[in-house]
Amino acid sequence: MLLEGTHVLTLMLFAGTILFVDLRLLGAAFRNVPVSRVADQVLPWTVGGFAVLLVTGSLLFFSNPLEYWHNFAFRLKLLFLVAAAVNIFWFHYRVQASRPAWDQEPVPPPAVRASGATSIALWFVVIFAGRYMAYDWTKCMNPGAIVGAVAQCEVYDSALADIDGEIAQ
Amino acid sequence: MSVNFHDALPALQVPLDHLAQAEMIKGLNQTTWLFAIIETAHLLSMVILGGAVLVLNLKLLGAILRDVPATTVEAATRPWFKIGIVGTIATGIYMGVATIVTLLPSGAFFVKMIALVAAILFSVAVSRQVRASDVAEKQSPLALAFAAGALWLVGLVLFAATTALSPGSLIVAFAGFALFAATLAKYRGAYLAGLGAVIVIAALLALEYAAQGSALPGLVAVALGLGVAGTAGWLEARKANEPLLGGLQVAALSSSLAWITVAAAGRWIGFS
Repeated sequence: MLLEGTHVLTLMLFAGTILFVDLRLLGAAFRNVPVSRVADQVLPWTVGGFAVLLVTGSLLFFSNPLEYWHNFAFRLKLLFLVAAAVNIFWFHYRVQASRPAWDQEPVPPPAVRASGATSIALWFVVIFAGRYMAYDWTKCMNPGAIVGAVAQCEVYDSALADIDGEIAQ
Repeated sequence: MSVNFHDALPALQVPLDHLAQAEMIKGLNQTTWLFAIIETAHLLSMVILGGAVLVLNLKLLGAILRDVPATTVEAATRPWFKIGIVGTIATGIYMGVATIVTLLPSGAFFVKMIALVAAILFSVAVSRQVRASDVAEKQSPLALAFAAGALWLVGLVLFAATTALSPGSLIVAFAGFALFAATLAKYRGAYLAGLGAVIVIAALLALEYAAQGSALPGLVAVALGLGVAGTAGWLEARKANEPLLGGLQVAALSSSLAWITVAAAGRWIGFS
Protein backbone atom coordinates (compact mmCIF):
# COMPACT_ATOMS: atom_id res chain seq x y z
CA MET A 1 0.00 0.00 0.00
CA LEU A 2 2.78 2.43 0.94
CA LEU A 3 4.68 1.71 -2.25
CA GLU A 4 1.61 2.08 -4.45
CA GLY A 5 0.46 5.19 -2.58
CA THR A 6 3.90 6.77 -2.94
CA HIS A 7 3.97 5.83 -6.64
CA VAL A 8 0.57 7.43 -7.31
CA LEU A 9 1.23 10.56 -5.26
CA THR A 10 4.65 11.16 -6.79
CA LEU A 11 2.82 11.42 -10.11
CA MET A 12 1.55 14.81 -8.94
CA LEU A 13 5.14 16.03 -8.58
CA PHE A 14 6.47 14.43 -11.77
CA ALA A 15 3.59 15.05 -14.17
CA GLY A 16 2.56 18.33 -12.54
CA THR A 17 6.00 19.90 -12.95
CA ILE A 18 6.67 18.56 -16.46
CA LEU A 19 3.21 19.83 -17.45
CA PHE A 20 4.22 23.42 -16.66
CA VAL A 21 7.50 23.11 -18.59
CA ASP A 22 5.50 21.77 -21.56
CA LEU A 23 2.89 24.53 -21.18
CA ARG A 24 5.74 27.05 -21.40
CA LEU A 25 6.99 25.33 -24.57
CA LEU A 26 3.45 25.66 -25.94
CA GLY A 27 3.30 29.33 -24.97
CA ALA A 28 0.33 28.62 -22.71
CA ALA A 29 1.94 29.61 -19.37
CA PHE A 30 4.84 31.80 -18.16
CA ARG A 31 4.93 33.56 -21.54
CA ASN A 32 7.05 36.41 -20.17
CA VAL A 33 9.59 34.10 -18.50
CA PRO A 34 12.41 32.65 -20.66
CA VAL A 35 11.97 28.96 -21.48
CA SER A 36 15.47 28.23 -20.16
CA ARG A 37 14.59 29.68 -16.74
CA VAL A 38 11.44 27.57 -16.41
CA ALA A 39 13.04 24.39 -17.74
CA ASP A 40 16.36 24.64 -15.87
CA GLN A 41 14.77 25.34 -12.49
CA VAL A 42 11.65 23.16 -12.65
CA LEU A 43 13.00 20.05 -14.40
CA PRO A 44 15.30 18.95 -11.52
CA TRP A 45 12.10 18.41 -9.47
CA THR A 46 10.60 16.48 -12.39
CA VAL A 47 13.69 14.28 -12.53
CA GLY A 48 13.56 13.76 -8.75
CA GLY A 49 9.91 12.70 -9.06
CA PHE A 50 10.78 10.35 -11.91
CA ALA A 51 13.52 8.73 -9.83
CA VAL A 52 11.01 7.99 -7.05
CA LEU A 53 8.51 6.68 -9.63
CA LEU A 54 11.17 4.44 -11.15
CA VAL A 55 12.15 2.94 -7.77
CA THR A 56 8.59 2.45 -6.50
CA GLY A 57 7.37 1.25 -9.93
CA SER A 58 10.19 -1.32 -10.17
CA LEU A 59 9.49 -2.60 -6.66
CA LEU A 60 5.78 -2.87 -7.48
CA PHE A 61 6.57 -4.74 -10.71
CA PHE A 62 8.84 -7.25 -8.99
CA SER A 63 6.21 -7.88 -6.32
CA ASN A 64 4.15 -9.66 -8.99
CA PRO A 65 6.09 -9.78 -12.26
CA LEU A 66 3.96 -12.44 -14.00
CA GLU A 67 0.71 -10.49 -13.53
CA TYR A 68 2.21 -7.15 -14.54
CA TRP A 69 4.17 -8.46 -17.53
CA HIS A 70 1.06 -10.10 -18.98
CA ASN A 71 -1.13 -7.03 -18.50
CA PHE A 72 -2.28 -5.29 -21.68
CA ALA A 73 -2.18 -1.80 -20.11
CA PHE A 74 1.30 -2.42 -18.62
CA ARG A 75 2.67 -3.21 -22.07
CA LEU A 76 1.04 -0.09 -23.47
CA LYS A 77 2.55 1.90 -20.61
CA LEU A 78 6.04 0.56 -21.42
CA LEU A 79 5.54 1.37 -25.11
CA PHE A 80 4.53 4.96 -24.39
CA LEU A 81 7.34 5.33 -21.83
CA VAL A 82 9.79 4.48 -24.61
CA ALA A 83 8.02 6.96 -26.92
CA ALA A 84 8.23 9.66 -24.22
CA ALA A 85 11.94 8.93 -23.79
CA VAL A 86 12.47 9.26 -27.57
CA ASN A 87 10.65 12.62 -27.46
CA ILE A 88 12.93 13.80 -24.62
CA PHE A 89 16.05 12.87 -26.59
CA TRP A 90 14.61 14.46 -29.74
CA PHE A 91 13.89 17.66 -27.84
CA HIS A 92 17.23 17.69 -26.03
CA TYR A 93 19.48 17.03 -29.03
CA ARG A 94 17.53 18.55 -31.93
CA VAL A 95 14.86 21.04 -30.90
CA GLN A 96 16.74 22.59 -27.97
CA ALA A 97 19.86 23.17 -30.05
CA SER A 98 18.35 26.43 -31.34
CA ARG A 99 17.02 27.53 -27.93
CA PRO A 100 18.85 30.89 -27.78
CA ALA A 101 16.83 31.96 -30.85
CA TRP A 102 13.42 31.37 -29.21
CA ASP A 103 14.20 31.33 -25.49
CA GLN A 104 12.51 34.70 -24.86
CA GLU A 105 9.64 34.21 -27.33
CA PRO A 106 6.19 34.22 -25.63
CA VAL A 107 5.11 31.55 -28.11
CA PRO A 108 8.01 29.35 -29.31
CA PRO A 109 8.24 28.06 -32.94
CA PRO A 110 6.02 25.18 -34.17
CA ALA A 111 8.70 22.48 -33.73
CA VAL A 112 9.10 23.40 -30.06
CA ARG A 113 5.35 23.53 -29.50
CA ALA A 114 4.96 20.16 -31.22
CA SER A 115 7.54 18.63 -28.88
CA GLY A 116 5.75 20.13 -25.83
CA ALA A 117 2.35 18.88 -27.00
CA THR A 118 3.78 15.43 -27.73
CA SER A 119 5.32 15.30 -24.27
CA ILE A 120 2.02 16.19 -22.56
CA ALA A 121 0.09 13.64 -24.66
CA LEU A 122 2.60 10.82 -24.10
CA TRP A 123 2.90 11.32 -20.34
CA PHE A 124 -0.86 11.45 -19.93
CA VAL A 125 -1.21 8.19 -21.87
CA VAL A 126 1.48 6.62 -19.67
CA ILE A 127 -0.49 7.69 -16.57
CA PHE A 128 -3.82 6.47 -17.96
CA ALA A 129 -2.30 3.13 -18.96
CA GLY A 130 -0.93 2.81 -15.44
CA ARG A 131 -4.38 3.41 -13.97
CA TYR A 132 -6.04 0.98 -16.41
CA MET A 133 -3.72 -1.81 -15.26
CA ALA A 134 -6.11 -2.23 -12.35
CA TYR A 135 -9.10 -2.92 -14.63
CA ASP A 136 -9.90 -6.62 -15.13
CA TRP A 137 -10.31 -6.25 -18.89
CA THR A 138 -6.60 -5.42 -19.27
CA LYS A 139 -5.59 -8.63 -17.45
CA CYS A 140 -5.44 -12.22 -18.66
CA MET A 141 -8.85 -12.96 -17.09
CA ASN A 142 -11.14 -13.98 -19.95
CA PRO A 143 -9.24 -11.60 -22.24
CA GLY A 144 -10.56 -10.33 -25.56
CA ALA A 145 -8.70 -11.22 -28.75
CA ILE A 146 -6.55 -8.08 -28.84
CA VAL A 147 -5.78 -8.05 -25.10
CA GLY A 148 -4.95 -11.78 -25.21
CA ALA A 149 -2.61 -11.37 -28.18
CA VAL A 150 -0.82 -8.23 -26.93
CA ALA A 151 -0.47 -9.50 -23.35
CA GLN A 152 0.53 -13.02 -24.55
CA CYS A 153 -2.08 -14.60 -22.29
CA GLU A 154 -1.30 -18.10 -23.60
CA VAL A 155 2.22 -17.77 -22.21
CA TYR A 156 0.72 -16.44 -18.95
CA ASP A 157 -1.66 -19.42 -18.66
CA SER A 158 1.14 -21.86 -19.35
CA ALA A 159 3.47 -20.19 -16.77
CA LEU A 160 0.67 -20.25 -14.21
CA ALA A 161 0.04 -23.96 -14.89
CA ASP A 162 3.77 -24.67 -14.43
CA ILE A 163 3.78 -22.79 -11.10
CA ASP A 164 0.67 -24.66 -9.93
CA GLY A 165 2.37 -27.93 -10.90
CA GLU A 166 5.50 -27.08 -8.93
CA ILE A 167 3.45 -26.08 -5.88
CA ALA A 168 1.48 -29.34 -6.08
CA GLN A 169 4.75 -31.39 -5.98
CA MET B 1 -11.17 4.31 15.65
CA SER B 2 -12.77 5.55 12.44
CA VAL B 3 -14.75 8.75 11.94
CA ASN B 4 -16.98 8.69 8.90
CA PHE B 5 -20.12 10.31 7.47
CA HIS B 6 -22.19 7.20 8.23
CA ASP B 7 -21.60 7.67 12.01
CA ALA B 8 -21.20 11.45 12.07
CA LEU B 9 -24.30 12.24 9.99
CA PRO B 10 -26.57 9.16 10.17
CA ALA B 11 -29.49 11.15 8.76
CA LEU B 12 -27.69 11.13 5.40
CA GLN B 13 -27.77 7.35 5.08
CA VAL B 14 -31.45 6.76 4.21
CA PRO B 15 -31.83 9.43 1.51
CA LEU B 16 -28.49 8.50 -0.02
CA ASP B 17 -29.42 4.80 0.00
CA HIS B 18 -32.55 5.76 -1.96
CA LEU B 19 -30.41 7.81 -4.31
CA ALA B 20 -28.07 4.84 -4.82
CA GLN B 21 -31.07 2.68 -5.80
CA ALA B 22 -32.13 5.10 -8.55
CA GLU B 23 -31.81 3.53 -11.99
CA MET B 24 -29.70 6.40 -13.28
CA ILE B 25 -27.19 6.12 -10.42
CA LYS B 26 -27.01 2.34 -10.83
CA GLY B 27 -26.39 2.95 -14.51
CA LEU B 28 -23.54 5.37 -13.73
CA ASN B 29 -21.88 2.83 -11.47
CA GLN B 30 -22.34 -0.14 -13.81
CA THR B 31 -21.29 1.53 -17.07
CA THR B 32 -17.63 0.51 -16.89
CA TRP B 33 -16.39 2.49 -19.89
CA LEU B 34 -18.04 5.71 -18.68
CA PHE B 35 -16.64 5.27 -15.18
CA ALA B 36 -13.18 4.66 -16.68
CA ILE B 37 -13.39 7.85 -18.75
CA ILE B 38 -14.49 9.90 -15.75
CA GLU B 39 -11.72 8.38 -13.65
CA THR B 40 -9.24 9.29 -16.39
CA ALA B 41 -10.52 12.89 -16.38
CA HIS B 42 -10.21 12.91 -12.56
CA LEU B 43 -6.55 11.85 -12.82
CA LEU B 44 -5.88 14.43 -15.53
CA SER B 45 -7.43 17.18 -13.40
CA MET B 46 -5.41 16.03 -10.39
CA VAL B 47 -2.17 16.34 -12.35
CA ILE B 48 -3.10 19.87 -13.52
CA LEU B 49 -4.13 20.86 -9.99
CA GLY B 50 -1.07 19.26 -8.39
CA GLY B 51 1.23 20.95 -10.90
CA ALA B 52 -0.30 24.39 -10.33
CA VAL B 53 -0.15 24.03 -6.53
CA LEU B 54 3.39 22.63 -6.44
CA VAL B 55 4.88 25.10 -8.92
CA LEU B 56 3.55 28.08 -6.94
CA ASN B 57 4.45 26.64 -3.55
CA LEU B 58 7.93 25.48 -4.60
CA LYS B 59 8.50 29.02 -5.89
CA LEU B 60 7.40 30.49 -2.55
CA LEU B 61 9.68 28.04 -0.72
CA GLY B 62 12.58 29.34 -2.81
CA ALA B 63 13.22 26.09 -4.67
CA ILE B 64 12.35 27.15 -8.24
CA LEU B 65 12.00 30.30 -10.37
CA ARG B 66 13.94 32.27 -7.77
CA ASP B 67 14.38 35.31 -9.99
CA VAL B 68 10.75 35.42 -11.17
CA PRO B 69 8.35 37.55 -9.08
CA ALA B 70 5.90 35.52 -6.99
CA THR B 71 3.01 37.50 -8.49
CA THR B 72 4.05 36.34 -12.00
CA VAL B 73 4.09 32.69 -10.90
CA GLU B 74 0.75 33.08 -9.10
CA ALA B 75 -0.83 34.67 -12.17
CA ALA B 76 0.59 31.95 -14.46
CA THR B 77 -0.61 29.06 -12.30
CA ARG B 78 -4.02 30.49 -11.27
CA PRO B 79 -5.99 29.57 -14.44
CA TRP B 80 -4.61 26.03 -14.32
CA PHE B 81 -5.41 25.77 -10.62
CA LYS B 82 -9.02 26.70 -11.42
CA ILE B 83 -9.22 24.20 -14.31
CA GLY B 84 -7.74 21.50 -12.07
CA ILE B 85 -10.05 22.16 -9.16
CA VAL B 86 -13.22 22.37 -11.27
CA GLY B 87 -12.26 19.18 -13.13
CA THR B 88 -11.31 17.28 -9.98
CA ILE B 89 -14.47 18.23 -8.09
CA ALA B 90 -16.84 17.69 -11.06
CA THR B 91 -15.45 14.23 -11.83
CA GLY B 92 -15.15 13.49 -8.11
CA ILE B 93 -18.86 14.25 -7.64
CA TYR B 94 -19.72 11.82 -10.46
CA MET B 95 -17.58 9.07 -8.94
CA GLY B 96 -18.87 9.88 -5.44
CA VAL B 97 -22.51 9.71 -6.49
CA ALA B 98 -21.95 6.45 -8.33
CA THR B 99 -20.36 4.82 -5.28
CA ILE B 100 -21.98 6.80 -2.45
CA VAL B 101 -23.07 3.75 -0.41
CA THR B 102 -19.46 2.59 0.01
CA LEU B 103 -18.13 6.10 0.65
CA LEU B 104 -20.31 7.05 3.63
CA PRO B 105 -18.80 4.46 6.04
CA SER B 106 -15.28 5.20 4.76
CA GLY B 107 -12.94 6.95 7.20
CA ALA B 108 -10.62 7.80 4.29
CA PHE B 109 -13.44 9.62 2.47
CA PHE B 110 -14.18 11.67 5.62
CA VAL B 111 -10.50 12.64 5.91
CA LYS B 112 -10.41 13.47 2.21
CA MET B 113 -13.37 15.84 2.46
CA ILE B 114 -11.95 17.67 5.49
CA ALA B 115 -8.54 17.94 3.87
CA LEU B 116 -10.13 19.11 0.61
CA VAL B 117 -11.80 22.07 2.31
CA ALA B 118 -8.55 22.85 4.17
CA ALA B 119 -6.49 22.62 0.97
CA ILE B 120 -8.80 24.95 -0.95
CA LEU B 121 -8.71 27.48 1.92
CA PHE B 122 -4.91 27.22 2.09
CA SER B 123 -4.54 27.78 -1.64
CA VAL B 124 -6.87 30.78 -1.56
CA ALA B 125 -4.97 32.22 1.44
CA VAL B 126 -1.59 31.74 -0.24
CA SER B 127 -2.80 33.30 -3.53
CA ARG B 128 -4.33 36.27 -1.69
CA GLN B 129 -1.16 36.85 0.29
CA VAL B 130 0.96 36.79 -2.87
CA ARG B 131 -1.41 39.20 -4.64
CA ALA B 132 -1.58 41.42 -1.55
CA SER B 133 2.16 42.00 -1.83
CA ASP B 134 1.49 43.67 -5.19
CA VAL B 135 -1.11 46.21 -4.06
CA ALA B 136 -0.88 49.21 -1.76
CA GLU B 137 -3.43 48.00 0.80
CA LYS B 138 -2.17 44.82 2.36
CA GLN B 139 -4.75 42.50 3.82
CA SER B 140 -3.16 39.40 5.24
CA PRO B 141 -5.56 36.41 5.04
CA LEU B 142 -4.46 35.19 8.46
CA ALA B 143 -7.93 34.02 9.57
CA LEU B 144 -8.29 31.98 6.39
CA ALA B 145 -4.88 30.39 6.88
CA PHE B 146 -5.59 29.55 10.52
CA ALA B 147 -8.98 28.00 9.63
CA ALA B 148 -7.29 25.96 6.91
CA GLY B 149 -4.52 24.90 9.30
CA ALA B 150 -6.95 23.83 12.01
CA LEU B 151 -9.07 21.81 9.58
CA TRP B 152 -6.05 20.19 8.01
CA LEU B 153 -4.63 19.18 11.40
CA VAL B 154 -7.99 17.58 12.31
CA GLY B 155 -7.90 15.62 9.03
CA LEU B 156 -4.28 14.62 9.57
CA VAL B 157 -4.87 13.43 13.15
CA LEU B 158 -7.84 11.33 11.98
CA PHE B 159 -5.71 9.97 9.14
CA ALA B 160 -2.90 8.96 11.51
CA ALA B 161 -5.17 7.69 14.31
CA THR B 162 -7.31 5.38 12.13
CA THR B 163 -5.52 2.03 12.07
CA ALA B 164 -6.48 1.12 8.50
CA LEU B 165 -5.43 4.53 7.20
CA SER B 166 -2.30 5.35 9.19
CA PRO B 167 0.16 4.20 6.48
CA GLY B 168 -1.33 6.91 4.25
CA SER B 169 -0.44 9.57 6.82
CA LEU B 170 3.17 8.35 6.67
CA ILE B 171 3.23 9.34 2.99
CA VAL B 172 2.05 12.82 3.94
CA ALA B 173 4.77 13.05 6.60
CA PHE B 174 7.52 11.98 4.20
CA ALA B 175 6.19 14.26 1.44
CA GLY B 176 6.54 17.04 4.02
CA PHE B 177 10.11 16.00 4.78
CA ALA B 178 10.90 15.92 1.04
CA LEU B 179 9.35 19.36 0.45
CA PHE B 180 11.24 20.74 3.44
CA ALA B 181 14.39 20.22 1.37
CA ALA B 182 13.12 23.06 -0.84
CA THR B 183 13.66 25.54 2.01
CA LEU B 184 17.30 24.55 2.49
CA ALA B 185 20.29 25.74 0.51
CA LYS B 186 23.65 24.92 2.10
CA TYR B 187 22.51 21.80 3.93
CA ARG B 188 20.06 20.43 1.30
CA GLY B 189 22.37 17.62 0.10
CA ALA B 190 23.23 16.48 3.63
CA TYR B 191 19.55 16.66 4.62
CA LEU B 192 18.43 14.53 1.67
CA ALA B 193 21.16 11.99 2.47
CA GLY B 194 19.92 11.88 6.08
CA LEU B 195 16.34 11.48 4.90
CA GLY B 196 17.42 8.63 2.61
CA ALA B 197 19.05 6.93 5.60
CA VAL B 198 15.83 7.33 7.61
CA ILE B 199 13.82 5.70 4.78
CA VAL B 200 16.27 2.75 4.66
CA ILE B 201 16.05 2.33 8.47
CA ALA B 202 12.23 2.51 8.28
CA ALA B 203 12.15 -0.08 5.49
CA LEU B 204 14.37 -2.45 7.51
CA LEU B 205 12.20 -1.97 10.60
CA ALA B 206 9.07 -2.53 8.51
CA LEU B 207 10.48 -5.85 7.22
CA GLU B 208 11.03 -6.88 10.84
CA TYR B 209 7.86 -5.58 12.53
CA ALA B 210 5.19 -4.62 10.00
CA ALA B 211 3.94 -8.19 9.57
CA GLN B 212 2.90 -8.16 13.24
CA GLY B 213 0.84 -5.02 12.61
CA SER B 214 3.20 -2.92 14.73
CA ALA B 215 3.13 0.86 14.32
CA LEU B 216 6.73 1.04 15.57
CA PRO B 217 8.45 1.40 12.14
CA GLY B 218 6.20 4.32 11.21
CA LEU B 219 6.62 6.10 14.54
CA VAL B 220 10.40 5.65 14.52
CA ALA B 221 10.57 6.86 10.90
CA VAL B 222 8.57 10.03 11.63
CA ALA B 223 10.57 10.75 14.82
CA LEU B 224 13.88 10.30 12.98
CA GLY B 225 12.60 12.38 10.03
CA LEU B 226 11.58 15.19 12.38
CA GLY B 227 14.99 14.99 14.04
CA VAL B 228 16.85 15.21 10.73
CA ALA B 229 14.61 18.06 9.49
CA GLY B 230 14.92 19.96 12.77
CA THR B 231 18.70 19.65 12.79
CA ALA B 232 19.06 20.71 9.14
CA GLY B 233 16.65 23.62 9.64
CA TRP B 234 18.49 24.79 12.78
CA LEU B 235 21.88 24.61 11.05
CA GLU B 236 20.56 26.43 7.97
CA ALA B 237 18.93 29.20 10.03
CA ARG B 238 22.09 29.62 12.09
CA LYS B 239 24.19 29.89 8.95
CA ALA B 240 21.84 32.42 7.32
CA ASN B 241 21.32 34.23 10.63
CA GLU B 242 17.58 34.58 9.98
CA PRO B 243 14.44 32.45 10.46
CA LEU B 244 14.23 29.59 7.97
CA LEU B 245 10.53 30.02 7.17
CA GLY B 246 8.33 33.10 7.06
CA GLY B 247 4.54 33.00 7.37
CA LEU B 248 4.04 32.69 3.61
CA GLN B 249 6.51 29.80 3.39
CA VAL B 250 4.75 27.97 6.22
CA ALA B 251 1.43 28.47 4.43
CA ALA B 252 2.93 27.29 1.11
CA LEU B 253 4.35 24.14 2.71
CA SER B 254 1.07 23.47 4.54
CA SER B 255 -0.94 24.07 1.37
CA SER B 256 1.10 21.48 -0.54
CA LEU B 257 0.76 19.00 2.30
CA ALA B 258 -2.99 19.57 2.59
CA TRP B 259 -3.37 18.72 -1.11
CA ILE B 260 -1.14 15.67 -0.64
CA THR B 261 -3.40 14.63 2.25
CA VAL B 262 -6.42 14.90 -0.09
CA ALA B 263 -4.71 12.72 -2.69
CA ALA B 264 -3.41 10.17 -0.15
CA ALA B 265 -6.81 9.86 1.56
CA GLY B 266 -8.38 9.47 -1.89
CA ARG B 267 -6.03 6.59 -2.67
CA TRP B 268 -6.77 5.01 0.70
CA ILE B 269 -10.51 4.98 -0.08
CA GLY B 270 -9.62 2.22 -2.52
CA PHE B 271 -7.36 0.41 -0.06
CA SER B 272 -9.65 0.46 3.00
